[in-house]
Amino acid sequence: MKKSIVLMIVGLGFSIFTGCQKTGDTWDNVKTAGRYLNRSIDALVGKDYDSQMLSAAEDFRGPNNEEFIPLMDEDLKTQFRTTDMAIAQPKYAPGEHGIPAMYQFKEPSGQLNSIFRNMHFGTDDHVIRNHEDLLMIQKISEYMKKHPNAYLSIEGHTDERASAAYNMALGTRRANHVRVLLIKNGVDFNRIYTISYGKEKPVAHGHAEDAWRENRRVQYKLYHK
Amino acid sequence: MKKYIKFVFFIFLFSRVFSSEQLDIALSTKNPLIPIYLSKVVNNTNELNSDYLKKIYDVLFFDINNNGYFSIFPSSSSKDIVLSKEDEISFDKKYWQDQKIFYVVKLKVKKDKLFTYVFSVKNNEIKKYELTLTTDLKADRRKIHNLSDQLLLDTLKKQGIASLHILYTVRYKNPDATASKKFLSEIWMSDYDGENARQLTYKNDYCVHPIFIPTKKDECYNFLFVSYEKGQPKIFGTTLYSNKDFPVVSLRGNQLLPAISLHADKLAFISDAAGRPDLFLQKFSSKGESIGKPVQVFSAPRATQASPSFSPDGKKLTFVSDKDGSCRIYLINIDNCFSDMKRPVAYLITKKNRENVTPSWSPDGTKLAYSAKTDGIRQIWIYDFETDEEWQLTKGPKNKENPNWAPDSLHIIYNTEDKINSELYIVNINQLEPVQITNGLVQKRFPSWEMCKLQ
Repeated sequence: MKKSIVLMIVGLGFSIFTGCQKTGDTWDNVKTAGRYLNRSIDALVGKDYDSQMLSAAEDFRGPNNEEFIPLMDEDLKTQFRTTDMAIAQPKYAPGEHGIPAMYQFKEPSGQLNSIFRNMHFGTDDHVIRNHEDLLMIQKISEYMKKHPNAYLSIEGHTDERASAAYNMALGTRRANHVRVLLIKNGVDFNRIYTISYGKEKPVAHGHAEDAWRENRRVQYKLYHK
Repeated sequence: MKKYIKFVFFIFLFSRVFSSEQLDIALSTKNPLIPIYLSKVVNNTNELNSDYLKKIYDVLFFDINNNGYFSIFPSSSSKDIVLSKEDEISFDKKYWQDQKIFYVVKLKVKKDKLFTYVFSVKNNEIKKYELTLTTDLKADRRKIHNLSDQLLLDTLKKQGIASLHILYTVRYKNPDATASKKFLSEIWMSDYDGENARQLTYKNDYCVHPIFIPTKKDECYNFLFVSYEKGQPKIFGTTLYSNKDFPVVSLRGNQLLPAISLHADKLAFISDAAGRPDLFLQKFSSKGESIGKPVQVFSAPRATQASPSFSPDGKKLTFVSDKDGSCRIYLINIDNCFSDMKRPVAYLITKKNRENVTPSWSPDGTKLAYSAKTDGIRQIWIYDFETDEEWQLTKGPKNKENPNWAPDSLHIIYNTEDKINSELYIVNINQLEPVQITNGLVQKRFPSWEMCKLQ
């Protein structure tokens, strides 16, 4: 009897395994389920451990509501401290009101190159996770605070694998994440611009993980007034 | 009892392990295409060069054979002999009926005029068309396209697409190897068959996502596109015959992936003005100018939004979001979005595959074309709103993206994307074999079909 039960359990497990969807789809489902599980647990314990409520609506909206009509959903006002904070873009576009035009921004050279070096992301990820990159973010912040006449552009790039259209949008996500990190470290938000290039400007032209990793990056350009 | 349970269990186990996930049944379907016979051009007076006439004939052949309604019957000398004996005002109805051919087209040249006689076998009627050939192939191609659309309208009361234009981008390596911009991308326009291609923008920069504006008003822009000329990508409007373009949306940050409603009264796009890649909507005037402030229509924590596409009535939008994991296509109602200020409910409408991108809503409102990863390759799929079914339109090794419907809701244009090259293909849902319409070493992408015929 015991042997039969064990065999049945093993057989059931094998059946489920072989009858499952393809590996990629299964992993995708696990990730989706994980997202919902995390949200549920956070809601149950009554807090978001990495979120921060803003004290006033103006902190969230900033100067935006002059320019567009924003959504007022509560979950958009809850600012996840590092991974999903939304901070408005600078008020004036490059080339207007004394702001340098984009063509005037240049790649940092010399010693600055070691600070403003490219930073990389995981696949489908927009969060800086590398400890050294996070330290560099602090150094960039210190530089920008010491040089109040410096303007920074952050370019968001992706690898070649997803569609061109989706990658354009994903590039903005990466650039904005780094921008938020710098602003949270005290840099004036009106001096940092984001540009998304998606997969349009690769630096590595191979078709394997090493090239893809090189291309999933943010890249910096500077202008000193 | 125990033996019975074990028996049932092992039968179940056997069926789960060895059964296939999906049972495919091939059904024979009736060919929807109508047989038509196209004669060779009769050129008894030899006033026009035969090579030139062959080119004209090839244009008409392509137009008729790819309009999604007709299938040209293989030519034969016996049929051509019959046609040569028949004069312009009479055809042997019984002969063509016996051949199971529904329409017969006879072409004849006299001096510089091409006469086209179309015989409807069923109705025993003949229609005659006349056009003057200029021997300028570019101009004459346009005339033949107009002829084939007129022919389709007169015979089957259907709208043709041969006389329409397409917009697309051409991405190529910067010839100036010392320049910081390694790649450039400009907007091009061509006939729907890829011919008569001409460059429209000369920015020496990066231009993407051109879309025709579906209006005939003279004072309106003809098309919109995204340009990086100011550094950040912004949406511009311009006319076909002008070098000037104008920013359309006054909003900070990146502006990407524009879509315009069929009534040309609303523009949807993606912007990070609020700090995330969110979906925005902008009211649009008949002159192509923005009205009022844009409204943030959809945003979600930790999510990237992309690629909006309007329903024909302009009351709904489909778009891409990864808010639930991988990219999926969602549908929202935007009827009240200018007053609600709350995120509308997003309905998932693509469920079969995981990475679904670049939706395009058919002008008749019944279908959505999109790109989905299928066994590792992005293929074009169709979602049918009426049956709630999804089916795969394309096959083959290359990634396919950016499907865009023609006004007839039958034809789709898309681009392939592989490691070296990108080409444009047209396909229609009655003839599932795609036709490549571009060739060359540069990348052709983001095609957009003209929605109403330009003057």
